[in-house]
Formats: sequence, structure tokens, C-alpha cells
Amino acid sequence: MSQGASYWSRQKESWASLKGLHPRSIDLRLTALIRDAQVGALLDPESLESLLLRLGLNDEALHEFPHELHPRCGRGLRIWQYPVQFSRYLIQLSRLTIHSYLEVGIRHGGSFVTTVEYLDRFHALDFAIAVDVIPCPSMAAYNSENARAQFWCLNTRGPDFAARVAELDSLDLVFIDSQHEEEHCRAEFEIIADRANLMAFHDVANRDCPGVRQVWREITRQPGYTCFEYIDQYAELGPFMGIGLAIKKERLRGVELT
Amino acid sequence: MSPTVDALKDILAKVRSEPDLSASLMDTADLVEEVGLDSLEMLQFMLEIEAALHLQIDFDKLEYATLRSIRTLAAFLDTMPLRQSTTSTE
Repeated sequence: MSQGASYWSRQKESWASLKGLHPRSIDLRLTALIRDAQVGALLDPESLESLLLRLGLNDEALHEFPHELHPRCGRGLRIWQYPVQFSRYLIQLSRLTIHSYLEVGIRHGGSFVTTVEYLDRFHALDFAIAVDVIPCPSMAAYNSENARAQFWCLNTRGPDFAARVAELDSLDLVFIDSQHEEEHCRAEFEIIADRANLMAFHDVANRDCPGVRQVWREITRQPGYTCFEYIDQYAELGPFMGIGLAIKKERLRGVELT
Repeated sequence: MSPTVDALKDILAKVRSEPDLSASLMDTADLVEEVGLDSLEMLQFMLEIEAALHLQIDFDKLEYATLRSIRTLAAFLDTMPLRQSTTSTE
């Protein structure tokens, strides 16, 4: 197979898991569930997991979701996460007083909106930036509700992304979930690494994402980071998804984490 | 002449930001070798196709060989169903 054909085969597999390349709109009214939730419920893993299910999950690559979650898929915020992983990850973030957030690869925007709304309940973010190469219809609507949230429609491999990141005063948390090829994931890490205090990666346990798994393994071996993994699975599936969180050790001074 | 072929040439000119490109392309032009779309341009090309032609491309059926000619791609796209609304929140 030629290099072009091989590349196309991988690209096509990735696109084939989507229900069309264009993101769907998400139901931003559901952010009220996060804004109105009791703090205790946001800090309890089971309660937060239940809330994430009410917010709604994505219905692409549906084979990654257990059948019992299928009624929750294709609705609401269309969060493309495993609630059992995402809930524990968010609770860890709640202990870290996050002051700014950037997410690369947002698809419909559900994980981005959920993360921003959740973090805002514990410490108001200075700004939040969603980045994707594909226009996302819900980001303009969300910006009208939350002026601190911006959308950058650009390619992270182009010069504009690095330049705009460099212009930011500071960058606390970055979540990387874009192109899952090893080279691309590593390049995004290298652009962000000097700027971000905390870096999270999606699909660090996904059997179908060897490139992300490799980059994550390399990061966990770097001495400057304390790393956490949220990789719980549903029975008889995967392993799929998985969130890795790497925190610069100097950022952790005075913070107690479990 | 196929209207889909003409539409694809116009989209290619837009993606490459070369307004004169559509007039210079042969119907048999290879999208990879001759037009030289890179991975990002290919993504933008596919997005523009879906938007402009109101299609939902079935990527399971789209083979690399289909990209070797604008005419072949147009014939493939003419078999694709119309795209569903992107505004649904279900």
C-alpha cells in the first residue's frame, strides 16, 4: 500500500466513526444542571457520574459505550467521555484551583462546556479556549452565555496555534483530544509543555489509539511531572478512552491530592 | 458536463485559495498527486463538499482510488444520501 493510501486508510477509519464530519449543536440549557448542583454532589464520584449521564453523551463510535448507556447517547451536551473516568478526573481538578483552560479537539463541545462549567463552580476561570480545525456551531452560542469562553478554529500544526498560545499571559490546564496519531499528539504536547501547568490527554488507555498511549507513557517517565490516570472501564469493552493528567511538580506545592 | 464535477472544482479552488484553479483542472485530475491536497486541506475539502452539496459522505465506502480523479469522486458523491440537519439537539 502506498504512503498516500495508507494515510487515507487511517484517516478514513477516523472519519468513518463520526456521523458526518460536521459537529452537532448541543443543548446548552443543560449547563443549569451543573450551575445549580450542590457542591457536595459535584465532589461525590457516583453523584457526578449520574449528573454526567443526565447531561448526555455523544453517539459516535457507539461501540465504545456499553449498551446500558446507549439511551444517554446522542442527546444533551453530547459529552464524548466515559462518565466513570470523567467524573473522577473532574473531581481531581476541583482540588487544584484551575485558573485557565484550553481544550484541543472539541468535536461537539460537550466535554469543553462541562469542564468549564464544573471548574467555574470551584474557582472562576480567567478564560477558557476551545480549539478545533472544524467549525463548531455551539461555541458561538456558548460564548454569548460565557464571554470568557472563546473558540479558535485552527489547525494546531499550523503557525497560528503556537503563536496564539505564546501570546497568552498564562495557561493552567490543557486537555488534548485532537488528532490521535503519535506524531501529532507529541507535537501538540511540545507546543504546550512549556506553557501549561497541567496537561490532560484523552484516550491514554484506548486500544485503538497506540500513538496517544505511547506519548502518554513517555510523559509519565519525565521527572518533572506527577501523573494520574482515570482509566476505569465498563465490563466486556475496550479498553477505551482513558484520561491521563500530568501536573508539573512545582504547580503541586501545597496541594494534597489522592 | 457533471454539475458535481464543476462543484468539486469550485470547492478545490476555495480550499486552495486559488480562484483560477477550477478553470485549469481537468476532470481527471488526481486530488492527491496533481492537486496536492495535504491532510488538513483534504479535511476542509470534505467538509466543504458535505456543506455545499448537502451530502453525508459514507467514509466506509470512500476508497483511496476514488480520489485519483475528480470525475470518479463526483460519481461516488452522486450516490451519497443527503446530509441530516446539524442543528438537532435531540
